[in-house]
Amino acid sequence: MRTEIFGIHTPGDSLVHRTPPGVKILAVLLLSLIPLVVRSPWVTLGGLAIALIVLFTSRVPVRRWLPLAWPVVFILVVVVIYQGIHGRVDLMVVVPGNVLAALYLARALVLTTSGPDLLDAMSRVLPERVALAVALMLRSIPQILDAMGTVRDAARARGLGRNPIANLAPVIVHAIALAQVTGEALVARGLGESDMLE
Amino acid sequence: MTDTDAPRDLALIAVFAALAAVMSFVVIPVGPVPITLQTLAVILAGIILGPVRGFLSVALWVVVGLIGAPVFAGGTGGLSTLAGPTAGYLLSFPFAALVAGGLVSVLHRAFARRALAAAVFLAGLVGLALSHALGIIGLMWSQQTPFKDAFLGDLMFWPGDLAKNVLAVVIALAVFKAFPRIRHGLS
Amino acid sequence: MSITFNGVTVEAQRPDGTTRVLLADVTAELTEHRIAVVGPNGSGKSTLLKLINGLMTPTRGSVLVQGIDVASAPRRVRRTVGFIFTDPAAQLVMSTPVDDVGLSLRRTIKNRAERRERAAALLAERGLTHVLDQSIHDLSGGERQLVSLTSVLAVDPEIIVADEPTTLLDLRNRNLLRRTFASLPQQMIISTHDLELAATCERVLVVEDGRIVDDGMAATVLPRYRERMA
Repeated sequence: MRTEIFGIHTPGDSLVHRTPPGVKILAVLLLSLIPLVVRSPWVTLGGLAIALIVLFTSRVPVRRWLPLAWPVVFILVVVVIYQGIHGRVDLMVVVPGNVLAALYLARALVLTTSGPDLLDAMSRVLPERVALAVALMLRSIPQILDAMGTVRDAARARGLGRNPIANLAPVIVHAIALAQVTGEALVARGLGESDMLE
Repeated sequence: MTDTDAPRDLALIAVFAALAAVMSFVVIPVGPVPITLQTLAVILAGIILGPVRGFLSVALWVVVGLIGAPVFAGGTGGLSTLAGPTAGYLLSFPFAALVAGGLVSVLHRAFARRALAAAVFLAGLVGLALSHALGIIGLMWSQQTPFKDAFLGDLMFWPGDLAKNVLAVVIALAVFKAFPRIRHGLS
Repeated sequence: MSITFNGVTVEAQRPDGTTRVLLADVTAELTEHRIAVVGPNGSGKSTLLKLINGLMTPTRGSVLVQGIDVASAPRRVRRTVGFIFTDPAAQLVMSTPVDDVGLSLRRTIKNRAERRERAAALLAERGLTHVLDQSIHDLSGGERQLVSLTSVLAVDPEIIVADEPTTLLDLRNRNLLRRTFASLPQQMIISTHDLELAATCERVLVVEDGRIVDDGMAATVLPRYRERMA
């Protein structure tokens, strides 16, 4: 399980690494959305090819960007089988191809851009409170994962290892407590006030 | 509304968005179908935070995931999700939280403040139904699937979602006991 | 420097509708440089501290910071009062120390590069150069607490309130934080179970059941407190 949200950043000095984060974000947006709207196998394959070329030029080791999560593979396989049965060869290419193209483009972005640089680029366009919410969300993920581990150990110690309530309810309670202290800390630091923009 | 409400709400919204991400990382394989706790997090956000904060919280998670942070099922993220067959579900989630959060107070009042559990269960169920409906529309669009196929495909997620809705009731009641004032910000 | 409590009572509603008294008719004038607040868990220490920057408001009575009523101008007061929480993990907003300190500086330094440089310099003053861009999550408890302190000091507060700042720290980090606190020019109000930390303060208040039950110089109050708790 991932404990560090932007942990997959791989520093480097390739052209992809040196491209400004704002340009990369924009490129990922366009290249992911165009095939989605056009729905032509050739556009899809073109998008996928660009994604792969970008990843190869970034010189990030292949094993760091190639593997797919099991749920993604599952869905893609289901789609291909389904469209195959219905004889829609074009959709057999378009749907999984669009998914993979967008997925690898996003990976290229996250692998070649550090978390703070990404947040920085986003916070240039986002209102301050939204940027703050994004930062708070990302910093809370490892904290909740930690709590989940602690709760799981406690549930096991009580012989409730497989009880979903014993494994989940304390995590939610902990998350709310975390949110409340965080809220107080924001107040104390003068952050996130309703007129923060002024 | 005091001057400290906005930061406190912001913290709850952000932490529940993080919770949705964490719940998405948990993948329980049920037969060949990978089930995550996503929908549980969505329904809980609506029910615990209320419609407005619940919507904002789930929307924050969805947007951050679409931007590319690996916060969706199995640690994925990015616009690829919009290209996949599950796009409709993902986009429905903020609205499912909104509906569940709005209904729980309406129903609770309708039940004359008794049977909070029933109110939570029904509100969650309606939220889930909305999510499934939009999910089916998404399937029909992205896969050019006839309604019948999309409907049957969608059916396989119902057993898991029903189980999660029961979990949501138990957890929500525990949370309301631990934090009796949490629903006060509910509009 | 002065903080004044005028007959402050704080009550909270229980879920069943009854009221619970968190603080009962507290009157005190805090002018010393370093003041410790000690007492058992649930005695009202946190409440007392949170009144100083308006995180909690009195049910009756008033709290004045430098002559300003906290209830009437909470934001103005908060700009002069820095608050250190027990758990720095909750206090830190950004994912890296340099970004978190930078967040505190955003009002005063608009240029990003300058802000980063200043944040890095402030962290270096606390001996944190080696963790500038590390994930907050990977820091030790002591490093995290020092980052929180740096973020709080970055806005130049006149008063620092710390709520059990050493409770989650190991012995070495406790000592480190104690030394760091001792070097600060700001007026400090520290609630703590760490009697060595309390002993470094000029004045100690003992809170029990929402009341100040003892008050005076550390050398005289702390031995009496140890006896009380025996």
